[in-house]
Amino acid sequence: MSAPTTTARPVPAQDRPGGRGRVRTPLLYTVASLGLLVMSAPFLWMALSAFKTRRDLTASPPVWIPSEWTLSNFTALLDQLDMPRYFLNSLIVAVLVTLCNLLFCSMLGYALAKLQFTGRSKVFGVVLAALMVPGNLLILPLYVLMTELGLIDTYAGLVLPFAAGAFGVFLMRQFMQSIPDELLEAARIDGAGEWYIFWRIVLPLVKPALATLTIFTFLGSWNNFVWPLIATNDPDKYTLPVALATFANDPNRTVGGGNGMLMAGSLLVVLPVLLVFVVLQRHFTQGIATAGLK
Amino acid sequence: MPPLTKAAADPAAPVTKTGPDGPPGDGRRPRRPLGRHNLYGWLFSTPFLVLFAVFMAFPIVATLLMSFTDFGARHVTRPLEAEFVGLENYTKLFEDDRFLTALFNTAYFVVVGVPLTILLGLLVAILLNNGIDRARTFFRVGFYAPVVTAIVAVAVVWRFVLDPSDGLIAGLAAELGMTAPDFLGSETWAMPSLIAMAVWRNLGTVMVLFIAGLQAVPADVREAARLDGAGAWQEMRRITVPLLRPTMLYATVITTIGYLNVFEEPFVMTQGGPSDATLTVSLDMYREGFNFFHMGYASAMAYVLFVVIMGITVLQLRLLKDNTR
Amino acid sequence: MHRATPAAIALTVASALTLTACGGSGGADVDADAEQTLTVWAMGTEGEKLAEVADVYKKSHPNITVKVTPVGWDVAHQKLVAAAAAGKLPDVMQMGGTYLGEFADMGVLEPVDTQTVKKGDFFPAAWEQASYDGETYGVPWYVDTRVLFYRTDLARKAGAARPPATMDELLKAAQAHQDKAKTKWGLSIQPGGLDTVQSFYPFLYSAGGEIIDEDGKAAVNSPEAVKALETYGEFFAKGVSEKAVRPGYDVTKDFNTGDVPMFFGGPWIMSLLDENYPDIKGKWAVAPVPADKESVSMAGGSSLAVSADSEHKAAAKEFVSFLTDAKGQSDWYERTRDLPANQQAWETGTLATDPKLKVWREQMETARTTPSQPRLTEITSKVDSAIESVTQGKSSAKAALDKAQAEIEGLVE
Repeated sequence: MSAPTTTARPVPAQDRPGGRGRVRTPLLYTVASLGLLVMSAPFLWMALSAFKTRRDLTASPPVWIPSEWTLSNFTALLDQLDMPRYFLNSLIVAVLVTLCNLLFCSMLGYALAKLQFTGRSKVFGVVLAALMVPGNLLILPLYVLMTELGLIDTYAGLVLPFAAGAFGVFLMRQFMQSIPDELLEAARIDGAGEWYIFWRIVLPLVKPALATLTIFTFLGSWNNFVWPLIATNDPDKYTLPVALATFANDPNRTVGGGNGMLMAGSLLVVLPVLLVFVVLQRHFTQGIATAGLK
Repeated sequence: MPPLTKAAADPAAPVTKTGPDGPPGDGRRPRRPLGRHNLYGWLFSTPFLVLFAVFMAFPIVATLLMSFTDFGARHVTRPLEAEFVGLENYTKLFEDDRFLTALFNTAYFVVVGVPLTILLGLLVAILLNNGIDRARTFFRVGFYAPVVTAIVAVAVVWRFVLDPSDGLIAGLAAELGMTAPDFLGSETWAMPSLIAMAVWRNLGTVMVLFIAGLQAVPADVREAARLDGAGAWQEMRRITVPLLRPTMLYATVITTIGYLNVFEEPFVMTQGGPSDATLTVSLDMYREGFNFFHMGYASAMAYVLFVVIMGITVLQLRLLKDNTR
Repeated sequence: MHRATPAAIALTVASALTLTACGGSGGADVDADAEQTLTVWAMGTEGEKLAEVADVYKKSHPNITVKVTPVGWDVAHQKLVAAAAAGKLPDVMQMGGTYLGEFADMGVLEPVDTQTVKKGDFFPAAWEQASYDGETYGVPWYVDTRVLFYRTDLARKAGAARPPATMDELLKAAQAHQDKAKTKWGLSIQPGGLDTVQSFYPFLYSAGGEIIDEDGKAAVNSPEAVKALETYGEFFAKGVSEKAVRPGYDVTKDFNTGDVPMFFGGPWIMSLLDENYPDIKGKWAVAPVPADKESVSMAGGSSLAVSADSEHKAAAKEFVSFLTDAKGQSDWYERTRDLPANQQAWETGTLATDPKLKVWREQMETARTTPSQPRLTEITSKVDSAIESVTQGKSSAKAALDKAQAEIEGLVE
């Protein structure tokens, strides 16, 4: 390792007194804030609309801040739909899918990145192929298959088709490529078993990737609509997006500036994912600690 | 435990390497795969392969077969009555004006959309990683919010933004004394509007990827470069960006695949109009398959799309692949 | 990549699909008196309200539990098709007019016993929608049609003493609204995009045209149809109607602000206006479709169909009868404001007395529908394109319809 690391860590430019940070930083913040506004506007609209009265929703020109805040959209929503149940269904499925992906994708990603085995490139080819097949068309045969297997209206039916996503495998492979081979070799020479290496050495090193995979997989599963729609006939087994869809496009309900109940529902659907994101995005930072391990 | 501390005590060489795949150093590593590698390689692959075989391979093969038949609505209950028509679906595709328009539109979307998304996502990631210290979480959540917002809500607001009479842009234009075009109703403006919307929606995902990638770049390396006299810009170009290559590859590949499959934006905002100006292959496929129930034809379309995606992905993998092995 | 040989694959696929196709049949039909559960799929609001009726039904038929699953309209088709493929259709399902032909063709619907269910009880168009290829597969449940909604206050400003009775008067009235009442548009009709044809039907049928004639042949470029499309196009050419295509456009909003003083709408619009726009209460009314040769509107609605593979056919038919006799229909109206398909239900109560409803009833009596076709969605989408090319000024009515005719001929059965 070159000299610098044995001395005190250098101070980053922004924190140096009189550093170039002075003029640039406010500018950066302004740009970032403007960008933030543009990016989050629709989300804010949705969030605000959830609390609007019908009057405000149908007002022309559209009204941003509710003139009168109301919880009626939420109460109506909870009245009509068994939200706790759908929430639970969505949660169980999303958590299971995420856990399976974390495990299976990192396993295969590791194997593709770091283990030399015959047929490796062919397996990678299969992964890529899975990535590239347009998904929507597979729904019908998949449904027939699931019916045969008796997996309709079951958690297994909702989880299994997504338990090992090609995207996840690809992601993990890319991140794991950066792990130094010497590290692994050294461990092997010391007698560590492959599973041990994988579990205790490799995984901790790719925390940012695992955090990223968690967010994406959770989000994907939580918002997944088409498959749960077809794979469940019993309303008790619906997931949130499916439940919302049952009245989303009803011409009797959709009004001008946005259906209040739909907005309320969409907000409720979004919050868990954002929560997961907020919690996990800190782990991106922790990556510094582990990647630069001395 | 002995193995762990020893490995930890020996990190010197690894952390300063310059290529993500790490050079073997002194070529001591044997060339042919070890028996152990083989065993574990396959063991680790098994879960994915089993799931794939059961839940993907069967539907893939089924739809492939369907693409060679005239499978339609009436065959749903009498699948064996579907007739083999060989390559007819495929040849019909290339005589279908609508499909060709869809192909062109999709290409337009990808060629403009992907670089924009990747570039902006990267810039924002760098900005939020290096430039902004305070309220980082706040900013990150804000930039990621579009990705998680339901398409319905997104559609409502973007319609408001683009509305030619009461819309946000129309209002701004009026202040400046100009009239805004009818974005979604105009054949020239509809596609750029949808591209803007897609970029806006997906840049959060790219941003998250790059943030994770940036964090994985050892800070010491960057600091070392800075101390050695490199300016922020140079350090970025020479050190960070090359180290981001695997992430860049992943981001580009999935964004491209995502955009080649673009469906939601045109479906919700314009339904493929006006006059098929925003009709994409995925939307055409949906229409043919689920509205008209030409499952055979739609399957053929899916496989053409698959071939295109495959070609482009392979190309990208070749170009962006890291060759410092 | 390793792949099994094509023959082996073909065999596996074929066997899997065959297995499922045979899946639902067999099994003796359960007696109507036995203890059983009926599964029912209904869409949209109907789905929700039907659950209430199911509870009522249980009281008089304690041995039958009716389980209603509400299904959203935009996903209904997919779900029905998937269920049909797997042999898992519910005992009773709501069948929209446009779906029936397709599913009847698939062979998954049980024909209706025309001895017990009488054709004459129902509006002719509703019965037609429930039939395919000479057989009736569903019992009409509710109907809708389109009539003219207009702002009475703006009409006065525009100098119209009464609603337009002919197409000519409609155009003139629309222009008068723009000139004298200063409304932004005169009439709102759909310029293009999905289901434009629904907006065009009042014009088409009133002119004596149709998409498919009684002999089952495509007739979309008949002189009557061409004339109707020319009339339709005029509204756009003269700037009376908005040219820009807007998916998801909500006309009631502009109706409220007065930007749009007239439009064609269905019965649910009335409740929508009452609930969402109390400001214009008393300032709007409905009128029959202006006449060309005659005043004819389109008929829509849904029937109730029984699955051919159902094991509870006897009980299912009884439940369907319960919903479609005069009493059940009036009850349904009270709950949902859906217009009954059974004409007898119109003899009593508000359905007989309310003047607004009188307009609907009259329109329903003459309303037309397109004969059930398995490929109806595709056919209408070709007509949508034809209409769009005319409203956008890209083609003449005749050229557009000739093109559509050529495209449709191969699709009609």
